Amino acid sequence: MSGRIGVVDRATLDQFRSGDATAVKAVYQEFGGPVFAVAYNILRDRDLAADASQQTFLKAWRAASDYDPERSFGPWIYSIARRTAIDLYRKRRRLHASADVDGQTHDPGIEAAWEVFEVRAALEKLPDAERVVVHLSHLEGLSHVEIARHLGIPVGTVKSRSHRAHQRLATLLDHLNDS
Amino acid sequence: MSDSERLSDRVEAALADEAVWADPPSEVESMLLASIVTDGTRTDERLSKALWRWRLATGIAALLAVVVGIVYTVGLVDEPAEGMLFPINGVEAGSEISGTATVGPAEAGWWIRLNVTGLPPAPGGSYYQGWVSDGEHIVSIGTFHMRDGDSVVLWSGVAISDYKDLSVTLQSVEGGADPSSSVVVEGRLESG
Repeated sequence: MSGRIGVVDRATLDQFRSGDATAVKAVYQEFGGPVFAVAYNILRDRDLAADASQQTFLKAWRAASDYDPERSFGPWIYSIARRTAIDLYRKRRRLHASADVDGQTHDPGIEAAWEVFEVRAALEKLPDAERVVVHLSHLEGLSHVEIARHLGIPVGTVKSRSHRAHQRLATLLDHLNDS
Repeated sequence: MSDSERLSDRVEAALADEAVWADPPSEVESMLLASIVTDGTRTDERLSKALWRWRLATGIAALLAVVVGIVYTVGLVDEPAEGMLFPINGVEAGSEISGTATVGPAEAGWWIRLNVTGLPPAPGGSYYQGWVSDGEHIVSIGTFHMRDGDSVVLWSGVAISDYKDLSVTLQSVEGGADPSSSVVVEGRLESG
């Protein structure tokens, strides 16, 4: 996962709406990870997810003048990403009407895909040192002792980083508990 | 309270999903920006600001079209008329690929719209590339992947009246700039 990213400000979104390429780049750097995560979550194929991501931002750019800057940008581009990934899957299924395609992808549902988007966005807001601990813990299933051994740092440091990371995530993702 | 207990079960599940941790390939950003630069379908405020220029260009183009139309009608040049359809077909025997190429003048050359059925999306790591040839030289008219629709607009900077042989090749991203030997579609931009 790439390093921590900044926050797209209102001025950048206004520039994005006017089609400014620099603003598009800034928006991609902010939302490229979450959009790819949603596409990958649905398509389960890295190349297809890359295609879906590119199409998502291209569609967003083309439709940028329709975007209401008073509303949050994340849900808007998320909805484009999810729809694009599902459309790509359906098209692929039509072209390759074989049983094996069905097993390679799934529609996780709106809520689950949104959680993937939000969790990825929250992870990108963690400091690298904390994020790697969360990665090794949750995805690789390592214990604190194993993480300490893997990273070559004291167990106490792993525990403190894990504690801070989970506190941050709980705060950043608290709104998901209301949905 | 353990660290994980601070998070909901759904967040826990998401954190255990490799999709949440996967990074997009680095080329996505550069390809996106390249697509935006070459995209010709944008209809935003910038275009409305440039509308007067478009109107001026349209007026000139209409005038030129009349002149070209008259010249074409009397047979002084061999340019294809705007909107003229030419059949294109798959190369392999028994291929289900077929369609049409439509040609029209643009400010900086010619646009060539391909409507193709049966052409599958370019596999990962590859793309399609259009070419026109005069029998001696071959010139690229653009790249595409056909993963979103059955139509693509390509652009030619050389005269279609000379470069009449149209082809589409399947290219590898790791290949060179020359046309590959994998020709998938062919056609001739000339009336029977």
